[in-house]
Amino acid sequence: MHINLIRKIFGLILLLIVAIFQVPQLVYAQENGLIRVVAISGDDGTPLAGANVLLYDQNSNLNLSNPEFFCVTNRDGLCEIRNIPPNREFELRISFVGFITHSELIILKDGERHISRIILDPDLEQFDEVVVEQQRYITTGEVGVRRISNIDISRVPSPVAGGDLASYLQTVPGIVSSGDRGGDLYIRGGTPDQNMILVDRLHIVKPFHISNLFSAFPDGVVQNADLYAGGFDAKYVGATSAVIDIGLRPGNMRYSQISAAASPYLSAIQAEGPIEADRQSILFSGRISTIDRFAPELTGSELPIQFGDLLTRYTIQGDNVTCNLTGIYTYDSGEIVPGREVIHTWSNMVIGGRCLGFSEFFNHPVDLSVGYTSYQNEEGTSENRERYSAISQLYFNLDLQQEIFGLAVDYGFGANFRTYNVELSERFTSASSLRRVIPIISLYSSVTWEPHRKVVIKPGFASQITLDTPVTFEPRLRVSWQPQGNDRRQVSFAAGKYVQTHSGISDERDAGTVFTILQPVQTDDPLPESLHGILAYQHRIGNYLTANVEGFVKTHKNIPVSKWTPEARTEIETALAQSETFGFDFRLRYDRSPLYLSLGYGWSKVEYEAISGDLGAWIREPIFRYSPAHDQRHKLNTLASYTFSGFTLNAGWEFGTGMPFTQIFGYDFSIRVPDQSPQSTTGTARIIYSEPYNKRLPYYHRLDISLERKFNLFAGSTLETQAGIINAYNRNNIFNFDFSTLQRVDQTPLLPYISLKLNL
Amino acid sequence: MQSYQHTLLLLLFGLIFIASCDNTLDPTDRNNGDFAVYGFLDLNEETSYIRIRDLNAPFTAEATEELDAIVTLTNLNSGVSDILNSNIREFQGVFQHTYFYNENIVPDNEYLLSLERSDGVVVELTTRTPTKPDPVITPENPNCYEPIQITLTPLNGGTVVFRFATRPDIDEDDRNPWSFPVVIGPDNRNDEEIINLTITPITMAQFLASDPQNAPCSSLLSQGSLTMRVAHYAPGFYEKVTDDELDILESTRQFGAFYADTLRIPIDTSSL
Repeated sequence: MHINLIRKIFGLILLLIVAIFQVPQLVYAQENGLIRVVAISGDDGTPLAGANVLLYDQNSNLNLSNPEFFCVTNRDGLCEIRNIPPNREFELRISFVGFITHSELIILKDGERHISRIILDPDLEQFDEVVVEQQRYITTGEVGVRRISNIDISRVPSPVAGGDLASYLQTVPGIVSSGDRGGDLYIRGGTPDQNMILVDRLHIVKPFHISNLFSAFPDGVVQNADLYAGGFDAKYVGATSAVIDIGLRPGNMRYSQISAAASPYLSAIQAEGPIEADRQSILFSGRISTIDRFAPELTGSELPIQFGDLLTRYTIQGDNVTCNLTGIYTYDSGEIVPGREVIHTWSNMVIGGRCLGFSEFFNHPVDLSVGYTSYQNEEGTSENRERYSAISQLYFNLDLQQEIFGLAVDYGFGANFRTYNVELSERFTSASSLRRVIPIISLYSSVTWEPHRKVVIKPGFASQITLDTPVTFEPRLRVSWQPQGNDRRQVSFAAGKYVQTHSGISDERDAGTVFTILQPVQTDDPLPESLHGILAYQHRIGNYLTANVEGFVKTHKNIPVSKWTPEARTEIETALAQSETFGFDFRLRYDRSPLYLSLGYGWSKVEYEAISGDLGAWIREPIFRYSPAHDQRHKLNTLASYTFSGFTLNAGWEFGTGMPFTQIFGYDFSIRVPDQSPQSTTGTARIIYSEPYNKRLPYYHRLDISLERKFNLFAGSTLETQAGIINAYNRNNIFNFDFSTLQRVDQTPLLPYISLKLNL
Repeated sequence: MQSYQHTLLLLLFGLIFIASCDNTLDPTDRNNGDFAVYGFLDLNEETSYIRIRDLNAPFTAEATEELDAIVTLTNLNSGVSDILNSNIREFQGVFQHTYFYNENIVPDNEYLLSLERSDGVVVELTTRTPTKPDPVITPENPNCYEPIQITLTPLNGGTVVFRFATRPDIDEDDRNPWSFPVVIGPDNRNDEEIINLTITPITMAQFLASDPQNAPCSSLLSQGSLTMRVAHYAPGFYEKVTDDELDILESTRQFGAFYADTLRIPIDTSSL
């Protein structure tokens, strides 16, 4: 049976490879031409994402609001326009906010594939006033997606110059963290192991640091990031809840830059520059935490955590190809609950490369990525490692496009060889140690169909094939309707089925542990799967105000959840649960220099259901429904940024209602009567959990503020200074009540800081 | 300018209001947890002991020094009621309260243990003591291969656990000298009022021996007897102490009645 399956897989791969190289011959017979544009910033020589590429027919009356053809550049600065009639004169206009518009006349020959590498020069007069241009084009890309730029990231107050993706993500309605530490993000009811995080198509398992203010991605290395809170399209295979797709900046292609930053939280250095002007560059970023040394003076309490990250990226830009090599290493260690003397450690390593080929030889761009990712997490005392779980992945992905019957078809495949390694001490009863290698083949395809100029429909499917589990079929659909024919008003819908072949097991009752066992689904167990449905409405009012509301529902099946033992101990047994999450998000954004305001509110309800016999203690009903520890009903975020007299004032306030936790039923000394006598036996001390998740924590709110000022020094060098306060009114936000130390553990108290960043 | 100041003041008051909101947390579920009870009325002992603990009291001396409870034991058959006194012992900074009852426990009587907290919370646990019948063993002085019948009657629904040993006082190679338990509860006997257990001495002796191969009966039963331990539990008490620990409430209320006797059954090993 396995041999047949392997034959089928290789047959399918062969078919796809043949398709790639056969297609060019077919295309040369076509009459219409195509144009591929790569937009490059004249400022630093790096790709410009989001530039408008417009084609105006010179034979008709020029109407700037109604181009004949259009596209928008992706994060590689690339976009293409197809089916351009040959032997007609067009004006090609490429525009991007803050840059001088490029214009040229082109005439394509029969079947010509024209590649334009356009460098846009900065328009210094336009930089102060950012005006959102009305776009006629329509995409299905907005439902369930938060598109994050490095400017967005830098607006969130952070105790280091610039900002960090982790701080930003926690301002998004629908994203819940268990407090200010631990590095776990729950996205619209999904758990961290149900998220997929990609860096230029390379996997990274947990890039969020032990302090939730930081990740491996400061604003200086991020070009942009797409957060898919659900309903993501067929291209993303292997996650059942959410996708965070991060695009890194290439290093500056024109000038060398070095910056060094210091703050009580961490010290950082970043260096970048060209190896060959406009062709090759390198970017390096390194950060190491210092808060464990400064916390006692600043907050009056210990914060025994250490973390750091290294990131390097080499980029080469050819006329027909762009490639990059990326290496990332992160390290986290420390006590989630100070005084508990349990040390959590995790690290990520990512090495890989990606090439985007867009030569005339290819009918469509070809995107190939190859990488190796490893992640390990462990828990124990300083002397003994008690629990260890690791996953390593060796993988490649090939993303292609094709045109069939006039429809754009995206398709691709990938292979991922995953190795799981789990080592548990004898305290774990059912989850035994394991070491397994699982090869996974994934395929996807989606079609972009525009039946009307105001409507785009994008159906697709994805599939995963392993040797141990049934072949999955995961249909996906994204639909968008622009009533006015532009993006001022847009109604979008997304739905799909999502499957993953591994799961993570952690004891969610104990917020003081973040250790997660990552393991493949057992051969006889059903695969974890989910169904998503999202309906979104976006309205842009004028040029500066955008409102967005989204309703969503997500159901998950076959989620392994920790079995509930009566005693508060780190024993993990699992039962399979189902979950249902529904809610809505509302976002309002005002962006007119020098003022930026945003307001986000999210309401959601997460409910799990499991057969009581599988769950453990306390359950009497045959089917038990409960709200898990990440069920936060209300979350409100406000963010304001104001620039005046050379200063920038950032303020962020967030409010969240309390999440469920499990109370203590009692403090007990158990005696095995009648074998043990109460007169002569002291008994065994135990703390017993009450009914699961029977109470909610107090609600949470926090104000962070910062004031920034940049000073010009000598020869173009600058000094960025920042002063700020985390938790400005010193709210005692609870993190958890620790059963082992019997102490309430609060989140970060008022923490003042000053940070400096020197740019050379 | 004035309206600007008003806005700032309003903002300040708003922040102070929000910051001052209560965010205390009680980690203990006081509605569910009250007292933990571990103890039993022993029909063979002069004193019975019952450990009682306030489940809401953390493991500190301050929280455990006093136990807010009046503990009463009542014989519901006779109506005699006694308020129990306690021994208090400190263990690793935590005080433990063990109540004692110095009267004889009457077989086949219903007893009520009552705990009353000063705020009116009352926990009541009852048990019916075992009947304490004398075991009847037939035939007398059997040989090794002769089946022995052990009869216990009358019973009132309690569970009896039998164990056997050939040399109960000798702990050979750290080996438990006692056999596996033979548990006979109300669910696995035909008559609630009577237990008939049949064993063959040679079979039991071979089972208990470390190297039974070809050993003669006189060697296996070198002491010339088989020792039987009979543990008799009040109705429901055995099930309670051996039940799944996932029943949290029951796992902290381990109260019942019990006695254990040890009998020597002479075996004639000389004739074979």
